[in-house]
Amino acid sequence: MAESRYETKILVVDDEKLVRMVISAKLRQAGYECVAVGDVATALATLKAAPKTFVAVVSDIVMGDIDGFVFRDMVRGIKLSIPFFFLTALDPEEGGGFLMRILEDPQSYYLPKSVKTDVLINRVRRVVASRHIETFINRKMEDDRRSMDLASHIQHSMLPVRAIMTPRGFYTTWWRPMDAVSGDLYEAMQFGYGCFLYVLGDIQGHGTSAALAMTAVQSFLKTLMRREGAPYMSPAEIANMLQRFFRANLADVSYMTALICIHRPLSGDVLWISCGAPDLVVIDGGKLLETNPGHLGGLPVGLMPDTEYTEADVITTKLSQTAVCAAYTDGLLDISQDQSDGGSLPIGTVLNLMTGLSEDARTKGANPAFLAKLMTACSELGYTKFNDDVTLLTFGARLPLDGVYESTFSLTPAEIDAAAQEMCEWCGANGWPEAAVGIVQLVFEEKLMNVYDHGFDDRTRLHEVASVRLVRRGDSAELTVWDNGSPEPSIAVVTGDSATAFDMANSEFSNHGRGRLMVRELCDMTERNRYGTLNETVYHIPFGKHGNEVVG
Amino acid sequence: MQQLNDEEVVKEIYDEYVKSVAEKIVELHATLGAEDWVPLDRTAHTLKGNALAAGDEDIATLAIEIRKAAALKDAETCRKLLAKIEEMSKLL
Repeated sequence: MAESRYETKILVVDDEKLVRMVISAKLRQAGYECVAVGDVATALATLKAAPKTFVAVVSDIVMGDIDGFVFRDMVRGIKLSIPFFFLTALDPEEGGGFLMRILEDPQSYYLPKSVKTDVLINRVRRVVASRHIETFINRKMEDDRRSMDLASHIQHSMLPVRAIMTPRGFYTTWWRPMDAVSGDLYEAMQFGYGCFLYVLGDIQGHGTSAALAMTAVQSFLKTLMRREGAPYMSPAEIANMLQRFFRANLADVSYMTALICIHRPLSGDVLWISCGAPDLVVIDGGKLLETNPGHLGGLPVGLMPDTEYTEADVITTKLSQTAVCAAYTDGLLDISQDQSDGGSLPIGTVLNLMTGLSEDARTKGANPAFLAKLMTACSELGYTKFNDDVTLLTFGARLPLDGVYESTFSLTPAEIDAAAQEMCEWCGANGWPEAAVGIVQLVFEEKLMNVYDHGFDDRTRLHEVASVRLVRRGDSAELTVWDNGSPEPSIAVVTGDSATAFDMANSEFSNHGRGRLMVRELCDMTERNRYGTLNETVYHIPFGKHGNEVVG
Repeated sequence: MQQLNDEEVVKEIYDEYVKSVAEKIVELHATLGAEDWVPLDRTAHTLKGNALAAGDEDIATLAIEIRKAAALKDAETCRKLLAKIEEMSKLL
């Protein structure tokens, strides 16, 4: 008997009743359920009604209405890979090339009408059994994919928000697992007068075991940070706590490289320790600073049982107000070019790109896009193949830029509203015309609520932030929004005037549930860029006139 | 109908086969009388398929011979082969 855990129904198609009776009887004897029909139209309707219940099709080639090969093509449109047995009285020696046409399709098989019962049953059983194995594997893979998706979400939810901007400092992060889950982690905690504690960790290896260790370490760090006085521990003390946690819980399983930094914007320094991790990168005024000339630091956390980190391992780096600090896990240098002989990303290239982009980010208030632009630049150089998990962190003191408003906030209606109020107050304090402030506020709220409503699913929205930058350019405003939501549909305007483009945009955005007509009315032009998963939208908002040119 | 265990099913298939052979003989006579070679070939092919499915290799072989003669438009040979099929059908 055929296995009952899986479907056992076979569709038999032949315009001769006798053949249908014989084949069905033979298959039923082997435990298969048969649905026998005399024409292609009925066969297609039967298959369409319940495509998942059939495990195979047995069909004649020469039929009155439609040729068996045409029928096969139609079946492939309904149930792509179902095994298809051609049962025919045609003799391969007669020519006509029908055997070749059968073999064109990897899931098609030949059966002569004279086939003996045991041969028919054996062939069908073998093919169907292999399909059942394939189905089992596919179901298992689908289950695994769902589990990994959930694990990935749990990991994501354990990480702090992607970016923060406070009156004294900022940080942004970029976290990408090689597979669904990551052995990399970062933790960020604000304490004291604008101080921040950062931990960037890289569990040895990647995949499930590294990811499980990552969640354990991330949980431990969160608990540790909530202990009284914990934020005021030195980087060496935190490293020792991590070392003890590793040796008690993950000894002989894994170890972790870690960079632990305490940034104190008011005193202008960063205290940091490298436990086998790449050194902290500090860029100031377009130049790289030498941060660790004495090659200080310790072994990876948990690698050896007797490791003890001391204050002598801790480095203090003085920072100017304009300096940018960057940290990365060594997976960054494991990104290779896609072609087979492509090498890995050289550290010199990374540092050159960082230096150039950090200057731009600092002087133009584009810090939230710094890391996403860095990774896009690497990918444009051909470094697109990730061979390890990669995490980057950048932080620095808040650098107020004349005439530039910057903000990073959680994507909730309350936070969006609060950010809008703060932005309007800033505009008022900087002498912007009242009417203009109202227009900018409308665009701001429309855009951010649109991202909130349409950019994320319910579970990811909770952890998301957006960043904005507002600059006055004569009689217009330039509002830049950075978010990690799903990309907006882009309207390609090949020909036609702006009114036509506007109509197209309206129609397209309406179809996507993103009716942003007001934004289009209020802006002269909208630019959209995407850096990896980061959307950059720039609105050019005239104070006095209402154009509607669309670029995208 | 070799290796089928259910006698009732075998009987049903046998009855249907006898009926189908009789029908095909009528069709072969009609198409041969009109020397309508394409439908004649098609009917012989169907008869061959039914005979093979039923395990009747003798009638299947005669049907193949009719197709060969039809390809040569040899009406005389076709008539002789058809007469043999009729004789055999009486033995079913």
